[in-house]
Amino acid sequence: MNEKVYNIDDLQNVNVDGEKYIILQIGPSHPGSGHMRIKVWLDGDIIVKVDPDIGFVHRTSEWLSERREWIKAVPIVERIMLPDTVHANLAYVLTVEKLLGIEPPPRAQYLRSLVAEINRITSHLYGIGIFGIFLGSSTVYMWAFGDREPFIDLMEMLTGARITTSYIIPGGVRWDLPNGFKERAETVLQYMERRLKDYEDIWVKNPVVQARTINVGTLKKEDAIALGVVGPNLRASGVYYDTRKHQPYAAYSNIDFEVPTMKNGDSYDRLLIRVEEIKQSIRMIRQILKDIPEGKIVADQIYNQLNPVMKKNYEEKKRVMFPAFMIHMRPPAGEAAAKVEAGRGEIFFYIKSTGDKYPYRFRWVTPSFRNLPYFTHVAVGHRLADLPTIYGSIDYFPPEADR
Amino acid sequence: MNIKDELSKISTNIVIDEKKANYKIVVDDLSKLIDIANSLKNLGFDHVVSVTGIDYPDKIEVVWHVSSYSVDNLKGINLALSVAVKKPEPIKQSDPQGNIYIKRPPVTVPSLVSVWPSGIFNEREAFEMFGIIFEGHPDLRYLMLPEDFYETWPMRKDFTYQRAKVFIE
Amino acid sequence: MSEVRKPRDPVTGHVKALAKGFKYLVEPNRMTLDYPAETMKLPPNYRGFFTVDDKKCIGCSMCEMVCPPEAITMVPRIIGEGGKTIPAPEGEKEAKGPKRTKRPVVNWGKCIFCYFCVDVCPVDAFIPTQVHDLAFEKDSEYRPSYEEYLKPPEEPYKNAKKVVSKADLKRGVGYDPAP
Repeated sequence: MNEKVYNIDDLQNVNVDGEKYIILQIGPSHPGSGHMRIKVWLDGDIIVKVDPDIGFVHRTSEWLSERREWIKAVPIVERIMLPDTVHANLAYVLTVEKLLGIEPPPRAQYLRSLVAEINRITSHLYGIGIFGIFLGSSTVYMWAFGDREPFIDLMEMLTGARITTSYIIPGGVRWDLPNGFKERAETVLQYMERRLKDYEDIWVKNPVVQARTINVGTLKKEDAIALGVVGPNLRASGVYYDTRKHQPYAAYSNIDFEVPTMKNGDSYDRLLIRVEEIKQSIRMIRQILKDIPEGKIVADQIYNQLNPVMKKNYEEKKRVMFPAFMIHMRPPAGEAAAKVEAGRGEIFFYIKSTGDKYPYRFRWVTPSFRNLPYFTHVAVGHRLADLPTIYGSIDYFPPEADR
Repeated sequence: MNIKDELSKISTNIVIDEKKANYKIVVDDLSKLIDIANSLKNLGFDHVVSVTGIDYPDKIEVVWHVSSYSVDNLKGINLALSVAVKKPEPIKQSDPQGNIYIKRPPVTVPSLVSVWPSGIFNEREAFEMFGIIFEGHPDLRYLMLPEDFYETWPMRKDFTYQRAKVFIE
Repeated sequence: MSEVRKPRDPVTGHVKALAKGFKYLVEPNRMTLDYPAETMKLPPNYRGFFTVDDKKCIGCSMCEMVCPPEAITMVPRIIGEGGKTIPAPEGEKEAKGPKRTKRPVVNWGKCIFCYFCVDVCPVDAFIPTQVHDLAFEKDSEYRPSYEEYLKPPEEPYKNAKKVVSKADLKRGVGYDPAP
């Protein structure tokens, strides 16, 4: 890390003084930036200032959701957060349930936690894989994306789709556990535990990786709090905060798990914390499959509205069909906010209803959007070659930030 | 620490809905906003989760959602800090071709970036989407929208658009 | 929880990483499916292309109302002999009269396979299949007529070897011959 201190006057002259600093535009069509542009001011090859320019994949999800029936926002929010579909779905449904005053039954709560934890593992593996290719290791990229596959298969077996599951609906979930799921999940978990040891040798404790990540992109605890960063990146800086612990939703109040935190808040810690969280998720999935209670998978308010054909389907195939309520849902006037801990961090929903068939105000904030200050703060003072390390380590996903 | 008592010391106008875990402070005087924000920060609310506007026919409500990473018993609370500003009357203008269009002037509220730096990108987004000018924001530029959206404020309810015909039907 | 950070000794670190790499060079961890020589038989709740049972459908338009991408359109039909429907006369847009009814057609270019329509159907008239790998050449093929839509989707690569995926302790995902 460069020791030179840049004072604020220097930074304000950056725009006009083209000779002193090189202004480099990374992206928007560059494999090292994703669908965003990172504008970098360079002194030699030392980064002086970074301005993330986002919005290239802005898909107006808030605007669209305010002009559609309530249930139609489920696929929309999922498609914004592709690696964390279940969490986005869950966060939206939790907010709607708060407005409606529906409480899902315990089995549905456990199933929600189960599919959320499977999704968290896939999300972290995705992050680790992208981090790998950013550092030039195509091995770990292929490994991580390959090892996502058994978990995606589990999701497909449970929900009927690989990524965009649309599994969670107001009042419960859409399908019950299929036969043979527990055994299959146990095999996958054992496989993953063994593979994590391989990852440690070839990637996590590899001296090359350590040399490139340790003390790169350090964010101190106080700065992390002030900048409001979220998720594993926040915990890597040493802040003990996890929405699953502090605002429990689904079945998390009944599940025993630890929230791993690190001390240094550099790129290496941000890598380690994801590995630790995969271990915790494996532990949680085991508990959920052991403790899952019997019973209905949808709340009585929904179940009672099913017609005889749908009830027959529910008994025989364990499949919840939609009563007409799902289309004509009109949550009573009021507002609700909910938070969910996704793989990349905290999703926040704030919805205002006026008792109409569309939401009046649909506001949501995604983890990547709240991790934007990482670019402006931690990269300054590093060499340009460290920017991919920092970008990869914060697990930033441009479509998610743009919404 | 009872959160209810602490909040009522800061402002008299609080709305609490325990069932939905809603806590809301409604600020009626714009000049008090920064003071209230500062006392909330001293209480332990240390970061901004979201800044957004809500467009009503006659006013725009600006809502800051704040929460805490450092104080344990505040970690479970999503506190909304809300202030409503009256919308100025829309102005009818005509362009050189003689087309009449309606210009909707922005509203102005004080920026809370000086209190909570974490709101910097959120306030930029609320600015471009709702036309809320945050006075005192260090870097109030457009964040996501392209140039042809300047001063259209697309998230306001009276925004009109031309639907693109992507699929021929 | 936080572990003390001590960079691994470079010599041991490199040797361990190389040894692990060599192990996987000799014994690779392939989970590749030899598509299209092998195709997968998907679980019964997999959300693939779907068609509708002409006799069961009551033309209530619930599927059209719930469809998030607005991919479903209702076409006017007339109930003919044996409960099957025949096309309504040219130019007729509204279904009126006792024998008039409506039937859904899906625009595959818009469909996102969320199966909200399949689940909202009060008579369970949709027939789901697990076919997911159809490709279309022209825009018009995305938008079938009702008669084309009624035909069950044909699976490509019919002669391919059918396999089912399973969890494999060694490779993560393994494939068994389909029963």
